[in-house]
Amino acid sequence: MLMQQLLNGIVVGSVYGLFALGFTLIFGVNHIMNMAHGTIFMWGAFAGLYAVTLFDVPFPVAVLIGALGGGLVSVILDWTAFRPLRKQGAPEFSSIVSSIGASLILLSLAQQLTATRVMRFPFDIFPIVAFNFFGLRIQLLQLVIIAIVVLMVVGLLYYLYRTSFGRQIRAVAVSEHTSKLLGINPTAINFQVFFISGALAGIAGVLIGIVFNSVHFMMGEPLLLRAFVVIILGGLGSIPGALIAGLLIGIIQTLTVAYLSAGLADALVFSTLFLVLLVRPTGLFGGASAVARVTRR
Amino acid sequence: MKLLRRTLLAGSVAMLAMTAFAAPGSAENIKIGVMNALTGAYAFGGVPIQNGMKLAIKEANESGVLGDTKIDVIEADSAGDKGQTITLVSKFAQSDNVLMIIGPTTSLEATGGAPVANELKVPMFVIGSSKAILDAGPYSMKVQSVGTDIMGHLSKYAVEKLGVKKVSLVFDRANDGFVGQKDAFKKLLGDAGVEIVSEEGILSSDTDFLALATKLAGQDIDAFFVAAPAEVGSNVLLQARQGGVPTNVLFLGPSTFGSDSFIETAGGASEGAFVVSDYFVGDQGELNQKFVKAYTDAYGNGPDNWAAMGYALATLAVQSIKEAGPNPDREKVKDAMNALRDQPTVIGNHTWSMDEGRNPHYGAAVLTVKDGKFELAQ
Repeated sequence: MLMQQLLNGIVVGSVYGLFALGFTLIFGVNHIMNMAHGTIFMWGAFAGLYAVTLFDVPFPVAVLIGALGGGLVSVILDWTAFRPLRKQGAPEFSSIVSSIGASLILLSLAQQLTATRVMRFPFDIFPIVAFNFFGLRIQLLQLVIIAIVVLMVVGLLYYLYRTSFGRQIRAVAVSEHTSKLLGINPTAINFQVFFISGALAGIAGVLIGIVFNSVHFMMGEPLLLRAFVVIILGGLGSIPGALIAGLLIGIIQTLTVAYLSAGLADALVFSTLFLVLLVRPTGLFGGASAVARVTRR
Repeated sequence: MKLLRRTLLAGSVAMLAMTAFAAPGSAENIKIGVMNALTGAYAFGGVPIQNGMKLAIKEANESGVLGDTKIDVIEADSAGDKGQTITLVSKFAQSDNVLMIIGPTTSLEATGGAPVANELKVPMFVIGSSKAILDAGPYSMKVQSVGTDIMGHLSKYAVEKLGVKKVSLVFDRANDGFVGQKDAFKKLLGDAGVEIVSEEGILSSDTDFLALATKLAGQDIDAFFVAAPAEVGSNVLLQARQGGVPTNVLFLGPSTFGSDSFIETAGGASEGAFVVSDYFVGDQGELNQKFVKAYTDAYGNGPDNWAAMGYALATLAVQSIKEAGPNPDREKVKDAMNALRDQPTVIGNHTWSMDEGRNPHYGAAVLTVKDGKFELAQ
């Protein structure tokens, strides 16, 4: 049972990680605590769901449309809620408020659209196949989720550290002003960052929607709260930190349910955050040298 | 400039005063405040309840049960939130000047609003099942029976007909009503000699029940019981089956699962589930048949347990206004509300009544899902 629960924890944790990646990316590059990330995740899931229910698209296409949907909402959010603030050089606090407002609007729109119903992907969107070996029960969907998350993380790291676009993103993260002098167009970079962040959230939305059998307008809110813990624990702006902290939170949560009580899971997750902050205020991977690679200090 | 501003100000005050005096609720009409959790985690119950309530009031207005007097509905969203409910009770009582309030949706909200309603002396008839609603005072009343009442039917059936001996309990730990149902069920089963293997508190905002599923799959149990909103509970059931809980481990659920959304969300996993329900949509009673038709005509889909509960509550509220006699005031409605006995209703065994402690009773039925539909369990 321990192995089974660890597996459950890894699956949940990797999706937390995927969700938190986009969250931490925007924080790292733009220094924005994007409180609307949960609603972008939800809209990604909606995009995937409507694609499946209206056009009967298969699983991989649904994931792609979820990514596209999340990416688009995220870019629109940047244009309407953050860009005007950036132009005026408004303090970072303004963008938090702006993102809360945007999040409320996106939530109400979704609520109106769905009449508050809980929706779900059709049962046949993904075949329910479970493998049993060494007493471990693994669902095919769980394996696919882990594979997608690994692919996304490797892809993102490659993009950031091995391509010219990634170099430009990192340059903007260090200093938007200096990168402008070097001929980089920060508008194009922000477009990319917000699109990637939204797309990651959208993919997480579709995956969570399928694996947990539930798509509704509030689905992003509990995740946003956990993503907070994940990115603070992992070190603000750190990509490996987000993934590892995501896994850690997933495992802690799962083991608490398994061996203590389901009611204690959140309490333990937040206690872990508290303890880690006492010992390492910058988070597990937030040491000055670690973060600087993706973010400005 | 100053003069213009002053004129504008005076003008708007005058306009405001005129609208206030010319408000549609003429002297003849009665105002009722209707609030439910139309948004938030309990909206899945709140929306059909609100629909059921509005239907009952519309029917009362059309049938002229109150003579020439019509009821004006003032709607609001309690959002599943205690603080919002308290604010709305004050608003309804003090600025809207309603005769009575119906709703909110959950015990959680109602236990916040009930003390305020008693303080402001405005009758408040709510959905919840918690006893604290009655304890708050004579102005607050509830339509649902206490957890023990309805759970008694389920535990009796589980022990005597299904032969259940070991059970695990899963419940929404943030909702007083669900905790009450779990506690009642636990006590009843304990008294019948059934072993409670584990108790698991979840939240209605949770969607990940994989760990819980694996835990249940590893237990030696005959059945598991889930007290949570239908969509959440069906998700627990579905993930439990996917996580390896075999179908011979039975699923037992309280009245919240007596809705089609349970079968829709859980799909094939709902097959063979046992649910105690205070309402059965297939009930052939004349009152229910009429209600099902009217509800379907009005909203395009059939009523569920919640819609029926809202309809039953609003019908009782209208009845208490009627019993309060001509020119009803809050005091008279409160007395009439407390005196309601043996009222015809669409829920339970068709008669809604109260005992001396003002606890409602209306019977219940145990339903089971067969071929994707609810039917009475034999």
